[in-house]
Amino acid sequence: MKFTKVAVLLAVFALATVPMFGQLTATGTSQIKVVRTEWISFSVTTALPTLTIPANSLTSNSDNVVVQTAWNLGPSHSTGVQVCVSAAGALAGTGSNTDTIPVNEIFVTPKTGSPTALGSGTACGVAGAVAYTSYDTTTAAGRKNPTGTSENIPVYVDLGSYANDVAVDTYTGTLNLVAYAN
Amino acid sequence: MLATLHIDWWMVLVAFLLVAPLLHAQRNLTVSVTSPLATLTAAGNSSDLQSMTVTSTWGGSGGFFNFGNVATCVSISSPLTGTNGNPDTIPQANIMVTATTIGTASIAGPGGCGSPIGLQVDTTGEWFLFAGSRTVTMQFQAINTGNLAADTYTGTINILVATD
Repeated sequence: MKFTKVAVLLAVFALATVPMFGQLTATGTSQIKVVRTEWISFSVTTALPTLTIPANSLTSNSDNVVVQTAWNLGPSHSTGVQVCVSAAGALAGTGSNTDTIPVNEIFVTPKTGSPTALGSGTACGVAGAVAYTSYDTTTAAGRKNPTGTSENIPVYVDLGSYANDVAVDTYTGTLNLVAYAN
Repeated sequence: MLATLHIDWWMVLVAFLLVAPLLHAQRNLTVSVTSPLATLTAAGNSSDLQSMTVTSTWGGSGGFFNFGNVATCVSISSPLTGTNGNPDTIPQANIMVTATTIGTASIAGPGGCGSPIGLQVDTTGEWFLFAGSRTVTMQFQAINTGNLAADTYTGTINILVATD
């Protein structure tokens, strides 16, 4: 009898306790957000060589300043990347030479278009800058260029619109180059 | 003997009626995000680390009989996606989770909590008997982000808490 009672009790306990060993689960969610920050880099890989205005000429040879632009931009920058050139000021001679080569006698030949004098316009948001080229960033692929793109920017001096010839000398100034994502 | 057994059956029946409701009483297990995950920022090939805290609670009227471990698992069901047609994504394997009991591992781990995907980040480590709670803090980091297009990538972390 004792065996029977124990067996019955065990059976009842087993039946009664089945649910307590069942698995319980609970779920939740949380948003995960990762922001890949945007960047743009720009460098002058080859400086502009010296330009020479030959005798009996008002126009120098054209030579290139070489720049490299790379970028990774977000969707808000879908209006393009521009590369622009401006001059910090007139080119100054040496010693007591007071002659200068004005900014508007320095020309850049855009990648598509005619030679354009510096000193007017506001390309790249810079007063007096000329846009050399622009890159399409309307697509996701266009907004990412991590390896970069190199450009040879032709620059020359033309004194043709300048009323006076300049003294024989070496004239020096600074070109400002900028990559710009609006 | 039969009479005795007959009485014993009634005793058993009474005992069953008293005990069964208690044993069958509704148990409950809940989980909530008590400290949400902040935005991860990736400036290079990996993001910074951000923390998320989840708290599990269990009990109910049958809490006394809640035998078993409580495991906490996390998973992400699909890659994190960008915006405006950006084809880049962050696969689950590139989301790393750091927690005390596991160290650092990909969220696309070997499974846990009965799910084939996801990562078990914590277990109570001992059977629990009464109502209680457990708080788990884990850190998240995105890796291999160097070639991603600049954008905001979004996804959903699934949190699963389960008893044995």
